[in-house]
Amino acid sequence: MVRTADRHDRLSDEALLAAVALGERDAVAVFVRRFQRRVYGLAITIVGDRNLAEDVAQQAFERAWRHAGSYDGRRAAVATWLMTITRNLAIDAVRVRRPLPVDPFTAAELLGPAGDDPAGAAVDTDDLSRLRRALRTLPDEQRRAVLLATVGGRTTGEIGEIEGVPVPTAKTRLRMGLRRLRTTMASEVER
Amino acid sequence: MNEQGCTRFDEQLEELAVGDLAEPERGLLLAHVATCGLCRERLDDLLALTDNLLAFAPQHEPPPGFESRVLERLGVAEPAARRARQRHTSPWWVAAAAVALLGAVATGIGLGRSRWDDDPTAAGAGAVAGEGPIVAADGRELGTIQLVDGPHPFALVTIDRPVDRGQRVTCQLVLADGSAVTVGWWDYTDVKAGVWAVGVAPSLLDAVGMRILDEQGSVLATATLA
Repeated sequence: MVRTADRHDRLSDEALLAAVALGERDAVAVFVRRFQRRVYGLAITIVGDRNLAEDVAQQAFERAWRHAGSYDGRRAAVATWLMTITRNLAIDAVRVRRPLPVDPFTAAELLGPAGDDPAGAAVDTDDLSRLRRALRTLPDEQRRAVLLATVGGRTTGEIGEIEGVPVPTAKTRLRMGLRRLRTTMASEVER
Repeated sequence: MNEQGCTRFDEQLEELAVGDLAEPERGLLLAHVATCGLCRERLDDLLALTDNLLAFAPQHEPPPGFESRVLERLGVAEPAARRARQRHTSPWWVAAAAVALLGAVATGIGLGRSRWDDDPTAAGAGAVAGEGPIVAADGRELGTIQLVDGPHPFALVTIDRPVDRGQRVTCQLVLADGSAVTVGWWDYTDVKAGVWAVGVAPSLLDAVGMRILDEQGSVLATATLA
């Protein structure tokens, strides 16, 4: 006999979230299991503290559970929606506790060469593959600024400190990097 | 559109998108964006971009027991049977979720969909009691339907391509004896694609087909469930 939780494993993200919204206990468990590595990974990357990261990750799942019924797939995929919730909560959490040291382990991971993650690439959608390729075309300093500001949740002031450059330089790198990504993505869509 | 304003705020849209713009600049820029379609579009693009970049965050295994602690925090850690009884005494909650999901008829699909559909570790499992492609009368494939088993079975209709007509469409499940049961309807005025979910009776999980009707009762599309 197949357990209900096992059976929920087959559902797409959208179907699983629908089951969560309908109050399926096992669906909630599968939802947590499916996304916990990414949610906790983003949380620890931003807050740099394991206890705080767990609290942030728990809050993210709680918020997703409460708002599952109002999820709007026109705006973002389920994973993107959940990661955005996590990022916002993590940034709120660290802003109360700044300054925090940059965890060298997570910083090194974050700043590794984009696009060289076979595990990640294996599960990319077409859009994510395009974004990964676009990220790879950025000059290193722009890519670092973009990833530190988004995935790392760092302010441009903090990016300046980490990179050893004045804040205006960090702002320029971030701005140029995002503009270039946007242009590259738009031109790929038009092709 | 105020060209001067756009030039002035041009330098700050990226900072706003990553949440790094302080007041009062943030408020001024938001006020401007509310009246400038060009800047609104650029900001929407940037927000989508920064959200999608989060997919590249490093993944980490959370501490042992994390899943249990989350379920406990949500109050869903107790056995499923007890939980189901509680839900039956709180029908408003389920109804609210269903209404919200019906409202989410407009839910389009974005990045990352169906990532786990091919999960080899789940082979042979079957929360999906029946599924099949939705095909229009002219033969176009419009989307898919899944009947999902569980304590609260539901039908999940995914429309990837628009149905040609109808302000309000009705969804019926067709049983083996040929009878049809209406499980719900949705307004189609502003909806061209989306995901629609609605709870169904367990007996309907044996349905062999589905059909979508327009307001006049004409069949717009059908699906064979297997």
